[in-house]
Amino acid sequence: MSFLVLQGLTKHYAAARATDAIDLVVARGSRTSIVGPSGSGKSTLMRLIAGFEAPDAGTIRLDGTVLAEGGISMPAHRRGIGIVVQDGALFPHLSVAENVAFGLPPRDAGRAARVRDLMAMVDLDISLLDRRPDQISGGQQQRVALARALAPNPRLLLLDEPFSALDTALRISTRKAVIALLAATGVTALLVTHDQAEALSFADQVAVMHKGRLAQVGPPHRLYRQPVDRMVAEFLGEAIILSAVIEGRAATSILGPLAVAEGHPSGRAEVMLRPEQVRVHVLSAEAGVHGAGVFGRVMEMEFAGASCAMVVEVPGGAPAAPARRIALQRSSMDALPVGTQVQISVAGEAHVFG
Amino acid sequence: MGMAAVVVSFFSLLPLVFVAWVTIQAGWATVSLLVFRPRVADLLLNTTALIVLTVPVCAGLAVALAWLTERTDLAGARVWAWVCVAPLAVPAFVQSYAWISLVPAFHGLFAGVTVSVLAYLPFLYLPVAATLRQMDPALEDVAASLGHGPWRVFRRVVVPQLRLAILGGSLLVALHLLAEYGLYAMIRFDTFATAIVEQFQTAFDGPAANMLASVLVVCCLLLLLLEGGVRGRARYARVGSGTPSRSRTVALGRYAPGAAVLLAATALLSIGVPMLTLGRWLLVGGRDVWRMGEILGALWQTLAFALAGGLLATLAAFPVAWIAVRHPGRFQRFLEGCNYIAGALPGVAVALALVMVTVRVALPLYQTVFTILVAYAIIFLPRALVSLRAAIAQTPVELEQAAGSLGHSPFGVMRVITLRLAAPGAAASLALVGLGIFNELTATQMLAPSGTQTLAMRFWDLSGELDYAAAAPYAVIMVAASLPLTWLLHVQARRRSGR
Repeated sequence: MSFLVLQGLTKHYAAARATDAIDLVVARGSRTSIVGPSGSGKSTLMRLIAGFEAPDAGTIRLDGTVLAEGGISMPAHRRGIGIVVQDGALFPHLSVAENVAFGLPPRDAGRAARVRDLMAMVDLDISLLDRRPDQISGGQQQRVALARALAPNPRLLLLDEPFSALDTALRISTRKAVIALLAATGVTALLVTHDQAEALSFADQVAVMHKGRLAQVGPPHRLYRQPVDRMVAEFLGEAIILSAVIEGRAATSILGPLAVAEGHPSGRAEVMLRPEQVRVHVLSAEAGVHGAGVFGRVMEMEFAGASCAMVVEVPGGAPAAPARRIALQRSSMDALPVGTQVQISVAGEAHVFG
Repeated sequence: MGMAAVVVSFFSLLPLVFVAWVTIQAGWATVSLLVFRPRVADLLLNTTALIVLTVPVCAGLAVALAWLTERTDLAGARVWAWVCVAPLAVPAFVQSYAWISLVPAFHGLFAGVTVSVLAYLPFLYLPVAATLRQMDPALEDVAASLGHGPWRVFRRVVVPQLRLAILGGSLLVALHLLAEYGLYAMIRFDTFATAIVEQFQTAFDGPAANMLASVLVVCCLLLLLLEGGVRGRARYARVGSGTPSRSRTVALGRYAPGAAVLLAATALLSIGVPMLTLGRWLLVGGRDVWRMGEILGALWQTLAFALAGGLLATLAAFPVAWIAVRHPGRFQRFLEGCNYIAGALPGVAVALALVMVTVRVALPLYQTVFTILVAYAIIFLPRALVSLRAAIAQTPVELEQAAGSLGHSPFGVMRVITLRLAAPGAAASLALVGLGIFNELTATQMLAPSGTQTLAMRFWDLSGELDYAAAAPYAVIMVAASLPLTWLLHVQARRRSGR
């Protein structure tokens, strides 16, 4: 199953470690995204896999063959790994058709047909074939770049921030089109991005990179719900981190009793909730009181179209525990005036760090 | 401003129009008699051979050197990059003086091509190196990921993107080959330029010289058309907005010694030979060659010409540059184009035309300071235009509008805002034109008032008398004066591309 295997992959740039002992396994036909803040070394990792740089240590294996090991690195043009980069990097001196055909054998009789198939595959009109790259839109350029990368049937496709130069609507539609295309062709793909939502929605497997190391690797759902540490938790989305006292399957916190998974030692620990787990109920005569939830008060309310951003203050229980403000999102249909008294309940389990 | 621009453009086209008019006036019979003769065929053959051999060699060498200095792990690449630009500081006729006084039998086509390549290499090296630096390295990475080896990537991705730089540089070199007189006269290789000067010296304002000049002008226009045609409408704008990541340096490995030898050999021939020869002659001449009275007199005259010509060219260029930036339109582009074309014409043709105009129409102006300054302004107008245009384009029109809204008259705005902010560009224009005049030989010889002795003229006369030692101090001064500007050009080219 393991198709691409990285072991102890390390690359230094003038004393700084761009990537530091990276281990990663990618299954055949799967989609993996590598996400991290800028400067975390994710682009370097991509360049190492593509063969544009040689690693200082570690090995890269693809489908059983060694691509790099012990300072010996197979050059990029022998690896059969396609790449799509941020701005497409289309050859400005060639037409769209010539760009797509660039990686095909020069005297291949089926060239023209293959180019037309690829254009159809990436959903581009063949009337664009004679255009120059600067005569088509940004979204079209990325599709041409994708068709060009897929043309020689690469064993692995690298996507280096391919959507980040596009505007929001186009980014989402292009991403969906790429996912569908990858699923149809069965090409193994690796996406590098700094956008956590993109990373989570794209892949079967997500790797969070930080300071040259992989902080956590796993399915998107698990990384989001059960991050290993605060960095991963906050990088992948809004996180409410509370200190709590664990006892068996329950934790006591400022938000009242929370459910936690089994197997955590008793005592003080940090727990994490995602804002969407926190429900806010208006206190009124009809509705009454909801179970054991703690009480709070709306401090800020900011209208933002479809949703609104709300800050709720929960008073601290003991004198030692100060009041806590929690930022939440809420449908703007349910916006509450500042000062409203609310009761808070929590859905699902809180995640315990450590 | 518009009026002034039209007047300037008229002046700069004057020589061209006059040549055409004289040709028409002479009548077809005379023209065909003077043009269709073996002498012209010989010159055409010589000139064509010179261009056809020099330009490709120059281009090939420039691409190789630029690639080595910009893209490889060559030791001392930054120093080598400067060494490749440095020949700009050596006037072409000093370059050929260096060779002829080192190898007295250095004559003919081979000599012409060799010295031309060495003298004009920087014209191609500079744009090619700049383009290589600005090229998006991702393109080469992607080409490699599509299965192309390093050599194929270079041929199919790098070279096509260098096309515009190579074309532009080649045009510049070819125009210089057509225009240069001193270099070829020194090594006795006949081109149109040398033949025209020769004719002029024997029978000045003769129809033969005029006809040769007409053919030369036609050659220049053909080159301009050829370049425009080959370039076509291609513009290799970078697609996308991605910041260029630093490009990968290629490890030369076992080729490193070979690369170093190529660079060292080029440097030795293009800078080493002039330095060696000048040093030798200075040593041979000792103290005697430093006749300070003469040298200082020539230096003073040269400086005065350079300053006055620089000022005139800058003043003349200002209206053209201003309307081209502020009021771009078809007519304005046409005016600007006229001035560039006039600037592309050889100095010898411009000078000859001015001789004709003054002798036939305004004799009192013949061989006056005024005429030589006009000639300088016409020849070097493009240099002034380029500098001023860039400076004015960087002055936001909003500033002028703000000043206007604060109660300044249009003239006041021009004085307080535009001229102030364009001052650095004007200084650059003054320096570029001034340096051109400093090393100018042909037009000065033909047009300057009798008794004029510029550095270039003194150098030319002395080396013509084979007194190489006495000529050396003049060459040294010209090279020394050119060095700072050459350095500046080198630094600017690197800074513009972000290094």
